[in-house]
Amino acid sequence: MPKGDSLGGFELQVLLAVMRLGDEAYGVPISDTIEEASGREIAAGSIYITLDRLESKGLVTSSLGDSTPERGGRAKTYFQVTGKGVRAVRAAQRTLMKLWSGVPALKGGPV
Amino acid sequence: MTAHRPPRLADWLLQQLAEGRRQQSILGDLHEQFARGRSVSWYWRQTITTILVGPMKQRLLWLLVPTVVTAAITATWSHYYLPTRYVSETLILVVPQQVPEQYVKPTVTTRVEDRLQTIMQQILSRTRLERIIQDFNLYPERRKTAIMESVVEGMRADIGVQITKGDAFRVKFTSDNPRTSLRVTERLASLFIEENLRDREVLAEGTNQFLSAQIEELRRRIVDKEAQLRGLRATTHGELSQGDLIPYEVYKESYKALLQKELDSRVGANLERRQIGEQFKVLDPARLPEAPVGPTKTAVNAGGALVGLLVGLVMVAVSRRPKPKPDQEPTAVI
Repeated sequence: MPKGDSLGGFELQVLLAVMRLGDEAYGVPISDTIEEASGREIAAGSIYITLDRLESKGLVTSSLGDSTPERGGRAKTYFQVTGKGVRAVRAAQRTLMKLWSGVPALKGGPV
Repeated sequence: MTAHRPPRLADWLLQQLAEGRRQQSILGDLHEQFARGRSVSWYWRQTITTILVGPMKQRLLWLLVPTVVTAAITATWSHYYLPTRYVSETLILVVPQQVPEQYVKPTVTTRVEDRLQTIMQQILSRTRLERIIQDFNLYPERRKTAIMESVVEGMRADIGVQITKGDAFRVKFTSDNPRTSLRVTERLASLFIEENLRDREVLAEGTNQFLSAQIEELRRRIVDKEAQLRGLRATTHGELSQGDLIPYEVYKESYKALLQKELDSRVGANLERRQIGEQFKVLDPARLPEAPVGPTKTAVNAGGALVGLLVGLVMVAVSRRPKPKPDQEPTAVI
C-alpha cells in the first residue's frame, strides 16, 4: 500500500461504518454507527471532512440520493467503499493485528 | 431540551460559515437527527464543531490571525511608546482694582485678554521654559537626542492657557507624570501672577517717568518764557502784547494738568506696588491628577484588535466565493 494511503484512526472507523451500512451509508447512519460503537458524540462536520479525504484518496465514492421533508428537502449523500478502500481496511487490520498480538498485557482478551 | 424546529440562528451560521460542497448534506443530516429527537443543545454543539472543523476553520484563522497580530503589535507599541498623559490645571481669576476708579484711575488700561497675550509670550519664551525644563528635569529622554529649541517647542504644546468668560483663565500642563504636571502647573500659575504684577508696576513706573520728564521739560520752557517776558517788559516799559502772554499761559495750564496727571499716576503706581490694583488670583489651585487623559492603553489595544478584526472581515468578505450548488460534483448519481 502506498505511503499516503495509510489510514488514520477516525478514517478507519468511518470506512468500517460505511462498509457495515452498505447501501444505506450516508451521514446520519454513519455517525450513529460510530457513536454507538465508540460511545462518544461525533460531529457531522468531522464525518464529512473525513469522507471527503477518503474520497480524494479513492477509498470511497459518493452519490446524491433522495431528499426527505425531515431533512428540509435536502438530498442525502451516500458513500460506498471502493476496492481500494477495502484493501486499505484490510491492510490496516493486518497491521493492527500484528501489533496486537505482540502486546503481552492484551493477551487475556478484551478487558 | 427539544423543539419542533432547529434553531434558526444555528442554521444561519451554518449557511454563512460552513460553506463547502457538503454544506447542504450536513444541514440535511442535522435536521434529520433533530427531527428524530436530538436536543437544541446537541444541535448547537454540532453547529459549532462543524464550523470549527469545516472550511470555516480557514475563515476563522483569517479573522483570528489579523486580530491577534494587530492586537499584539498595538499592545507592544502602546507599552513602549504610548505615554500615559496627566493634566493638571489651575483657574486664575482676574481680580479688579480694589479701590474705586472714581478715586484712583488705573494706570494700566489695556484689556485683560491683550495683557494675557503679552504675559503668555513672556512666559512661553525660550529662556523661561528652558529654566522650568531644567528646574523640573522635564523631558529627560528627549533632551538626550533633540536640541533644546525642539524640546522647548514640545513643552509649549504641553502648556494650555484658556480664557474663560473674560475675567478668569485656566492654565494647564500635560505630562507623563502626574506630580510633574501638578508642579509645573503651579509654577506656571505663579509666573503668570508675578509677571502680571511686574508688568503693571513697570507700566505704571514708565508712565510716571514719562510724566516727570514732560513736567521737567515744561518747567524749563516756563522758566525760559518768564526770562523772555522779563526782558520784553524792560524794553516795552511793562507793556506786553497778548501774543507774548498766551503761550506763557498755555505752558502754565499744561504744567498744572501734567502735575495733576503725575500725581494720579503716582497714586496708581502705589496701588500696583501695594498690590491692590487689578491682579491675578488663583481661584482653583492645581491638583494632582488622579486619572490619565486621552486614550488609555487598554482602549488603544482594543482599537488595534478591532482594526485587525475588521481587516479579517474584509479578507473573509473578499475571499467569499459564490456558494456552491448543493452537493455538487458527486462521483456518481443514483
